[in-house]
Amino acid sequence: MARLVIRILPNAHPTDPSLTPLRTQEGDVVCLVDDGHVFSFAELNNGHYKILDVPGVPQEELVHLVAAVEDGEGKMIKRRAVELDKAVLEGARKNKTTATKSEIDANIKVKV
Amino acid sequence: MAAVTVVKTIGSTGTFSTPQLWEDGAPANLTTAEQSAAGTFAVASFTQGESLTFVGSGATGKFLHTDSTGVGTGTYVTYGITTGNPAASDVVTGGSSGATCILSSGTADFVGVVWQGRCQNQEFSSATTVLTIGGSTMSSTTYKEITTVPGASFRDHANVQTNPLRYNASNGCGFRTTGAETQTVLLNNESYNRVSKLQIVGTGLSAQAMINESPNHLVEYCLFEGTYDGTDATLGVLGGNDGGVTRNCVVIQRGDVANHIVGTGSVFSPEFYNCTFVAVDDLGTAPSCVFQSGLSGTITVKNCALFAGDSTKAIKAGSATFNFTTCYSDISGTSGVTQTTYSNEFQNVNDATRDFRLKAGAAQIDTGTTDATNAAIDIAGTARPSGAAYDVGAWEFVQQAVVNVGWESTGQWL
Repeated sequence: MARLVIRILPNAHPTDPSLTPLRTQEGDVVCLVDDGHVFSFAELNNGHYKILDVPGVPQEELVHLVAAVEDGEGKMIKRRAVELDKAVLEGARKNKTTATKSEIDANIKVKV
Repeated sequence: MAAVTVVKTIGSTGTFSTPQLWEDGAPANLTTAEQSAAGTFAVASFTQGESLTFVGSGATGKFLHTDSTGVGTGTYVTYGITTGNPAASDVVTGGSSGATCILSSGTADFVGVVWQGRCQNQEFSSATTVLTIGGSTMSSTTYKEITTVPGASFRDHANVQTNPLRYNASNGCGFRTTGAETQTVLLNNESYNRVSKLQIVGTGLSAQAMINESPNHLVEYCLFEGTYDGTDATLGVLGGNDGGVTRNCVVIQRGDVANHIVGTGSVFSPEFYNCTFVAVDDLGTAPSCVFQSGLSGTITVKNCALFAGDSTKAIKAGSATFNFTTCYSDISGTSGVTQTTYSNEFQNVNDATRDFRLKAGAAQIDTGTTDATNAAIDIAGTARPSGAAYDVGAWEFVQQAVVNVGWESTGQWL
């Protein structure tokens, strides 16, 4: 049972571009929480995040959304391997608050 | 100029509801974040983490903290800088809240922040990693620190002296992964970070409790449990550890047929002080070694308990140089390590009832080396030494003072 916290504002490192891949970016799922999770006022209102409910889907089926990219020695080199297509976050679907797993899967992009 | 510590609560009633959202709320550059005098707080209250515009200088940033409680109150504002350089009389404007205040000076009172997250007394569980730390600029004086609210740690529990020393979220804040596949509970990819007072457990297949991928971290007063069964020196129940300090911690391997308990990283030189590294004693096959090192490095291990649960196993493997000082193990043949019987040392060494507090008569009692820098306080908050000398491992056995009742210097009972 999951809720997704998706970053919707840019989050590049302002002075060190090498650190930007280690930060969550627009379209990245920042974290997975359970259906009943209660977010803080700040998390709901600071403008950085969109909450998307995926009711009835266990977190275990969505862990690929928060998987990092590692180098050959297992060290993280990119915070997220995939992102959600920004179409999910914009336009007609901007106000969408729930999604099915198939809708999520259809909008995943592998980061380059 | 001194840095300022920005304290944020994490939990069901905290500023952040999860450790990962706390981490995501940190400034990108901790060394340039500032706290400046400000006044004329108007319109509304700022919202944690919102984007800021400094109208005047044109700088942009991220709201971190203030003492303002609403319109008309407040004397300072703390912010991360994204672009530009805030100046006196800038109108600081929140992008989401619309709140404003005016900077009193172009010179900050503090430059640099310690971004400290304090977890409430609850279990933070996830199917995947509970907390990944990385992507910010930091230094030895400006870093991220994850710990607990005072009173919320297992070491603050009223019965800490009698509670079994193992993961139990009923005793204090805990991080847990619930995923069945390989997971890391806490991944630290950033230098200088500090982690303390937490219980961290991975229960899935080959689960790693904590991996440190960058140097100069400090980990203390934590309890780790995991099942990692690979051979990688950068991984383990506690893995990586590149060039950092771990002290007064317990690390418990619960996985069958594991290779090691602690991975010491590839080339750096981690240090371990007064830690208890153990595998539970009823595994089908005990881990092959306690430490798996990489290609090089010099590893300091002082006052540590090193028990694999099988005296035929090894204390170390790999190519690094180890320097052991007053350590105890169930494995013989290593300089600086004294062999002793596992079951004589701890309250209970079996998996289901594990309890890694020292028990009376243990060889580790009063046989450690004095180290006030790293081990003045044990994992339960007991001052060392309790008794004639420091104990070995994370737990200091509390010895009751001998009181002579009614015995006079004349040697006569009253």
